[in-house]
Amino acid sequence: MLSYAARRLAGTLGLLVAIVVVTFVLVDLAPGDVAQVLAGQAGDPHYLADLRAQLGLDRSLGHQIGAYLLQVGRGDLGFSTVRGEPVLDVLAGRLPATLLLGGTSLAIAVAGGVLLGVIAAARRGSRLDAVISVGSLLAYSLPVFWLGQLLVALLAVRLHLLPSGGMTSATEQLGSLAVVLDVLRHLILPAATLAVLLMALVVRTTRAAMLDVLDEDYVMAARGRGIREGPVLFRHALRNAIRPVITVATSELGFLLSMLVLVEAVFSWPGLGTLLLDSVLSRDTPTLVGLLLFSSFVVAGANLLGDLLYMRIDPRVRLR
Amino acid sequence: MRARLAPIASTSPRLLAGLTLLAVVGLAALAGALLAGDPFRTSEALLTGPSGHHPFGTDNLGRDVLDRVLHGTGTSLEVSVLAVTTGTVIAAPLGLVSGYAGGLLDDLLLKLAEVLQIIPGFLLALVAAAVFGASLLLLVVILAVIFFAPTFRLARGEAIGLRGREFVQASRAAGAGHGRILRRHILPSALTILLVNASFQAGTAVLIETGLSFLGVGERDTVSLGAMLFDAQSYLEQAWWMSLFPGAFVALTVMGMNLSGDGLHQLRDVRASGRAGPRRPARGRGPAMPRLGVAPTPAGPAKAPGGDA
Repeated sequence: MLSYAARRLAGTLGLLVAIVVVTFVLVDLAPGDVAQVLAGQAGDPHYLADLRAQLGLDRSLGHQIGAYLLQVGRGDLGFSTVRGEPVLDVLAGRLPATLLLGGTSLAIAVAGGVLLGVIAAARRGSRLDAVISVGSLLAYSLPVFWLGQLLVALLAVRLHLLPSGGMTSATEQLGSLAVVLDVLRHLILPAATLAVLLMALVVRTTRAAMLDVLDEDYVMAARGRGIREGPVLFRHALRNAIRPVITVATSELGFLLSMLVLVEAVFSWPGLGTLLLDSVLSRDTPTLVGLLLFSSFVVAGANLLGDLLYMRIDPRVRLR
Repeated sequence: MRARLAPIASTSPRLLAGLTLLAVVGLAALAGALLAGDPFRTSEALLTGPSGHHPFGTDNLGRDVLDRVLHGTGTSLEVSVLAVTTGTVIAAPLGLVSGYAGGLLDDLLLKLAEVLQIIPGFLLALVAAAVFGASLLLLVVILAVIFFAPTFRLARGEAIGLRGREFVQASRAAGAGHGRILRRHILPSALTILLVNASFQAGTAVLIETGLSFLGVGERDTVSLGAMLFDAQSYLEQAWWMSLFPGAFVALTVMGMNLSGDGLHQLRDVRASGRAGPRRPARGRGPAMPRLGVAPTPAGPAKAPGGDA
């Protein structure tokens, strides 16, 4: 199992190098560079040349990539000239907000989604099943940023129930408990928006997986032994059906990340998503590459974690 | 034709609902191209609510929201159909041949697909669109690249599953060549699931297209529903109609595509079970788990096709 994990990690490293190369090439192909952004449109040519030399932009692309990879190897993601901070610090500053938002919505989505999916599968073909499965299909079709806007227009603008954006009110000095409550109030709308989309995905996966399992002989056998329906569903069937759900929860992390960018944009949530958007618009390449590296690393890590989790749950799974 | 439509409607109301929605959305786009006014014409009537003159109201520059919604729907449909067609036409035949033939090339292509699938597609699309200045062509290319891996793996899995089936073996024994088997047996049998996959991907494409323009990296001189929602974001307090109508058309378009895909999938299951007696889960179907050797287990990973963005 350890050697398996090591091989997977090696594969991930190769992928990360590929991402660095692709991003550098993309940015290099684009007209203009960060020095121009920093110096302004009508920047003094001498200043511009100095700035390029200082940033290493006057060297060849291969040189730049090599230097960057060595740096990353030392655990340094570089320096964001636009922000005047090391990239690692920039990321670390934004990570908690994204973890809070993503974690909360994922937890709600998995808990609610698995429950609804099991109910729909248990009542297959009933009206309740139709409502749940069509409902989740329709929810899955909603543009997440529009759902966010509707919630803001209704609950924040019209009814004044919740704040429309940001993570804190940042007005006067608040006690620590008041700060927590304040953040929670700001969290409700973005987390609910994100959770609706994720839950739709979990419901559909759970239902499909449960339907496959419910036809199996051991489920019939459990029913035949007189075990009540609740334990049959949750203890016997769900335990076998949970694998695909884990796959989706971990492999769809890329999906979660892109949703995060959109939701954070709607609610001006100060996380990695708004950071990504800002650095795209300001040509902040070091931050951009750092972000892409970080998210690919997280996605690959989650996939690995998902596979390892399988083995804990299902001893029949063997790794090659 | 009618005789064939009626049973479809009764066995899969979802397919019927989806196709109806798509027809409505398609007509709206057509109306946008043929009848609607200039979506860029500004007027003095800024931020006026829905009225007889402007059924969907006007935006912050006094432009008619209905005209813009109709044009924007056309843009979304265009991008999505082009991207999914390109992706499928490239990835599906490759996947079918690769799965059917196996061997070294198959291994290589599978590796490529796995790598492509880990890169967060939407984020890469965002960077590329921002860096190159978005154009519809670039968007179509990026989407086709994003859709390559899932379609390739689906087609490959189908071909592997079909390769060992009796009717293929029989055809082989009767002396049919590989090309003929692929064209006459493998492709037709895999066609429905590829269509299901394509309709879900079309929905995803619309969401990505509008999502990118919502983030401000869309092409500025075409009307996009996403860009309209970006404009609406600053006026949520005064002009809800700027958000409601464009968003509703995105949602209806995607719902039409997803409902059609889901309905088609249902129909396929019904047909399969109609022949094979009581429904048993089809083993070994769907995208195979990578890297994991799995002893016969009850459930294959049942992942919604086109689920990732």
